[in-house]
Amino acid sequence: MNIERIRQDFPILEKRFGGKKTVYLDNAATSLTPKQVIEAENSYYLECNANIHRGLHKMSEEASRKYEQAHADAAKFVGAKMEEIVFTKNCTESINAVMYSLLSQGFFSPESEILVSRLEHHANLVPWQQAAKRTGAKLRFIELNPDYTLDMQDFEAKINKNTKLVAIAHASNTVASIQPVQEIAKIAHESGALCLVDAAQSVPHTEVNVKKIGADFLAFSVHKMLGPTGLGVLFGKKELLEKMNPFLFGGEMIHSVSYNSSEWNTLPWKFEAGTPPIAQALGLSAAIDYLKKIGLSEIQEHDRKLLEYAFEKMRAIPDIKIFNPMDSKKQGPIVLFESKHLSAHDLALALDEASNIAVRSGMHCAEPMVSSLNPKGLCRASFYLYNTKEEIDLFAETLSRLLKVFK
Amino acid sequence: MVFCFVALGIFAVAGIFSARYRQFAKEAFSCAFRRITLRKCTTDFDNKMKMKISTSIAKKSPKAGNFIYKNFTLLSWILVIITLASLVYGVYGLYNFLAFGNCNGPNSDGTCIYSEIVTPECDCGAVGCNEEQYYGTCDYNCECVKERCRQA
Repeated sequence: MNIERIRQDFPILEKRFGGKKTVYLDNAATSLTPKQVIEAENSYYLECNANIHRGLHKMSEEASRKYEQAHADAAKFVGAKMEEIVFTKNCTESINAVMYSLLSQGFFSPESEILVSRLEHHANLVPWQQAAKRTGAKLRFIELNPDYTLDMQDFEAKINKNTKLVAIAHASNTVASIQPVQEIAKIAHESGALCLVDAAQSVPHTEVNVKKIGADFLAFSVHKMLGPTGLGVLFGKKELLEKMNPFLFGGEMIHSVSYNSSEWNTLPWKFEAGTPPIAQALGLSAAIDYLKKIGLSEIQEHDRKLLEYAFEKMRAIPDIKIFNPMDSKKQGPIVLFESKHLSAHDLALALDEASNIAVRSGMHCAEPMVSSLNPKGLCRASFYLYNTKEEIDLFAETLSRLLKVFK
Repeated sequence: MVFCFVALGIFAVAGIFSARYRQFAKEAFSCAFRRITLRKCTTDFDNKMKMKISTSIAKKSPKAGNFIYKNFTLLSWILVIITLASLVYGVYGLYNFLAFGNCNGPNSDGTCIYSEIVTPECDCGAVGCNEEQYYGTCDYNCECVKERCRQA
């Protein structure tokens, strides 16, 4: 893996503030975009700027073909069938689509239980809070081990015949622990529950195969895997999606419409009401090509090396506390930390001001989890394929210096 | 924190010349407005400025950076008090200028900033000076001297 060559594909890495380049360590929030993806997205506007599945003209046909190809690419990327891949606005909307659809079919009752973990992102917590609130169902939480991995014994103790759904993050966006989703899906199915996996933090970094995992639904964001913003992906098992109601209604998702009733389109279009994000879908195809060309196993190995290096450097800094499993096999490339002397926001601002180092601070859209560790929030540095050891050196040096200055 | 009140004045002026400072001015205004209306500032503006200023200074002098970081609230209050005192003094001077023709009060011929702003580049001399000339621009028939015309 030639990092220098990879970095040349990301023009934004050349952007300077006050004469200094930015060190981008906020990849868990959104990844940077390579020029291949930017060009692919532009190509829609330059070459086939037409609506899909509507016109009979050549431009519309080309746009439709490319949009459908994006579904096929995404399906192949996660080992699914094309009709099992629904494009949404983002990962949050993917999860909401499942929630609203299940809700509309009366899937939950007051006796039902929904099982989520303590480390969920708001996207995989708030929708289920709402589902529980609206139906009287009970929302239960799987506890964590002291090393922030999922307590599987607690999971097995809590799942029962009333559990209708297990919604779990594949990799946490805060403590970064990787959950054994294959095992979780198996146990959920044995209890008769559905299993939804939030894979926003795993799909960009590791090979994800929906068949291997066996989950009923899997959601992820495109902008976290080098793609454009405004596009999310929902995988759903074909037999389930066929039975489920759409949650958005309008054009594109219908087969026929009369004044009093409508028939739904075939999968996956049944779940894609209105004009979809066509340009972004072309960008997704390019992002998948880019990731495949480098190889996800290579990327994962690079992430691991960076993470281990970051841990090594940060362990040497006094007054820093890290909230991760601290084992690169058990977690994604994220370091969640706090300092004794500076608040998370102060530290993030100081890192940015001192050396243009972009890290995230606060609750990280996982307030219950983060506030249980520090009510004022935490700092997070997250790495990806274009980050280097030199950047981590600068990050660690700056961090160490700032903590000495503001002691 | 009260830094937004000081920052509003500084960035409002700096914002005339730079879009970057215009954004800071907007944030400072929003923050100051919320404070005046007894609400919590939602932009975290004061803290943002505290870190920007103290980190920038710490690059050159870590001790000074640390001092500003630790005493930012106190320093902000000092700046607010100085700003308010200047404002009161300025308004008092303006009143004197309008009432007596000099911002230092009656019977004073000390330097007055308003005279420099309001007075034309050259003024008519005492000889032949009348009320019209006093309020008007310099008459080309008058001989211009630095001394300002005075009402009898």
